[in-house]
Amino acid sequence: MIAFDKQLLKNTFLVNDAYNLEEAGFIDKQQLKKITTNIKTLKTQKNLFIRICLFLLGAFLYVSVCGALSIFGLSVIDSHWQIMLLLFALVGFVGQEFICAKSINYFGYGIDDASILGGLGCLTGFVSAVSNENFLIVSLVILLVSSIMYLRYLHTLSIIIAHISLISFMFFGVYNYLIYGKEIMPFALFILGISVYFLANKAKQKLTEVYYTSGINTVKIVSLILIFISLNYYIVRELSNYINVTPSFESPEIPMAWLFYGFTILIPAIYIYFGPKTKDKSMFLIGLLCVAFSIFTIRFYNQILPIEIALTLGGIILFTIAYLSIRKLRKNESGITFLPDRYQSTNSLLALQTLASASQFGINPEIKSPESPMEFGGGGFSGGGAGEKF
Amino acid sequence: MDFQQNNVQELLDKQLISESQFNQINAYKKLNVFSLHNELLALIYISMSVFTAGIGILIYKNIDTIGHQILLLLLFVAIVVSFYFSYKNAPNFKKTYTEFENPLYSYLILFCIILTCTFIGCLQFQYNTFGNNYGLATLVPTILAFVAAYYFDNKSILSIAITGAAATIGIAVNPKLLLDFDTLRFAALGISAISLGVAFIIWNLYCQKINLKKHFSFVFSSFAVHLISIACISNSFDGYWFFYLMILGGSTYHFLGESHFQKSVSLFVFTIVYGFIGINILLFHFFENLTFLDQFLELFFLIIPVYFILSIVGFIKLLKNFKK
Repeated sequence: MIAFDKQLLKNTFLVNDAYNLEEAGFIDKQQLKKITTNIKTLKTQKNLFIRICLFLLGAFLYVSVCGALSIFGLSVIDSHWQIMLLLFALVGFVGQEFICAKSINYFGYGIDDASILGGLGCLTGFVSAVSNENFLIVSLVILLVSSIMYLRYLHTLSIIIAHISLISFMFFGVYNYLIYGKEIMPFALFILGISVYFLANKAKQKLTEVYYTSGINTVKIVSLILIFISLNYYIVRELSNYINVTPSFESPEIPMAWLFYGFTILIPAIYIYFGPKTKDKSMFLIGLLCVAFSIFTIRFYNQILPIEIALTLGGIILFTIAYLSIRKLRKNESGITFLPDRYQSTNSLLALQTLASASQFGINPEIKSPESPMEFGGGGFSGGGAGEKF
Repeated sequence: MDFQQNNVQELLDKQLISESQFNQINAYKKLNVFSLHNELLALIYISMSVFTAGIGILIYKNIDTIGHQILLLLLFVAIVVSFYFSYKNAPNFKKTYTEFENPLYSYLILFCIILTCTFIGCLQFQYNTFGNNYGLATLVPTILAFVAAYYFDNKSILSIAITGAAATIGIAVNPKLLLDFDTLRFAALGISAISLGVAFIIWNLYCQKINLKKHFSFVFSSFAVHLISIACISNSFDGYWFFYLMILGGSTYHFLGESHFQKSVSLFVFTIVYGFIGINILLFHFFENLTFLDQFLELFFLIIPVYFILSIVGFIKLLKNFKK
């Protein structure tokens, strides 16, 4: 099923680990160079910036190939334009097969992202045009094709798409074909999330090939997010209003609100508790993000405090939590600790902070008209603009 | 299955790493480190920005009341206290890279600078401290920020200072602007944005020569490449397009060398992207004038894919050169 040479694929992950060892300072540059020259690998792009650039170039190439093809198809484009979409999708898939051919060997290079995503996009358009926008069929087809894309090309983005189409398949299936489908929707999606998560967990324990690791981790991450949002009070209330026969402007209170409020608070707490316990960094980080979304959820319906007091107090509370955790974890040599992990560099955090400081606290040029003096100067005021996200 | 362990074992078997390195790696693995270093520091940063945002709104809402003056007084006290503690714990000034022993202090000094900006903004708004000399009201926090950035070796403060320097001559260099690429706004600022970018380049070269905080050159270069390139691109469709494209060419040349020198991939990529856009605009201006080409429109659509294949190949070649 896999399009690549398996030995080369394994070597790719081996050399990737060697890069990590070099970054962590266990081996030196000379050794790394020796490793990279001695072991043959697939061509991959580790740098995200370059990968995005190559993705854009690949997307331009894909669009221009499709444009050139449509010149030949001008005669049929009026009557059978759906056929053209299928043709474009085939261009993507054939192109992908070419990209990972033995002589070229691009794996996670940016160009392959363009061809696979372009192909899947055109296929979605084709299926929904042919099936009169029957989303159940669309999600089923995309689920199948993107799973094949993952299994053949080990393309991690494809498995995210596969997972999302599985969710949407479940959604439309329950919505259209079950009695009380709307009422049990949150629980159906919750059960889907839980079962996929535990299946992936089990698969990870039994895994024998290194190259499936990132795909399985991705599935776990998407499932964790699904588990949280399927029972989140805000999502449930707004979505149930949205799929109602007569949606009202302001969503009405939902039955069993206390249950959803409970899960909104409980699930992030579970993630944050079990993340460090099971050494699962992504679960912990998702937990932190879920906390932010839970605060948003609760504040959206109950304006307990005026925004400026909430922000100031929130800042103080956050700082206290972080400061106390740092003090507590500072001395730990092993386990949960504040000492930097040798495998994780702090550079990206610093770069992000530099960028965030410039955009959030940056000094704006003053407006000379006295009517709008609040646009003026000080960082704090422009910082006030950042309050929008709360 | 533990794949990392397998891979390390394989490297040992192939004699690409030594036995002692292998033992070190395993010993570190046995520690079972679950580091919250980055997460907690990010949390500190978020708490600080949430707090300052809250304070900003608080002051804004309480203007013209007695509470405002008390707030200003508290603000001043907070600035003095946080500055005192950061200064006391700061390492001595050196031309090379220095850092606080405790990373929390670098956040404290950043906090102090943000509050100073708020404070000066307030003073000017409420009491007109700098009179009608508005430029001075941005210049003072800018200079303070530059001094603090160099003394405490803090890139975040440096980026604030750079936005201040741009604001003094009337340009808003907010990274958010990159996202909505407001060409009209940049077009009006053409020459002043380019001069500011050139000033950054010159300062950068000078600093590299006298070895002053060389690691700052990435920040200066990033701001300069975006300023110059965006100003040139947004001006490249009007009368002086050739002039602006020439400048873009020059800056692309300069920053290609600079990115090799700094070994910075992101600078390299952005330079290439802007250069590529410039080349396309040049080609557009060239073909625009050749009206007889209209008859070959279909041929044009057939050539475009070839053009993109060539650019991908060229880009990958440039990358290979860069990695060497």
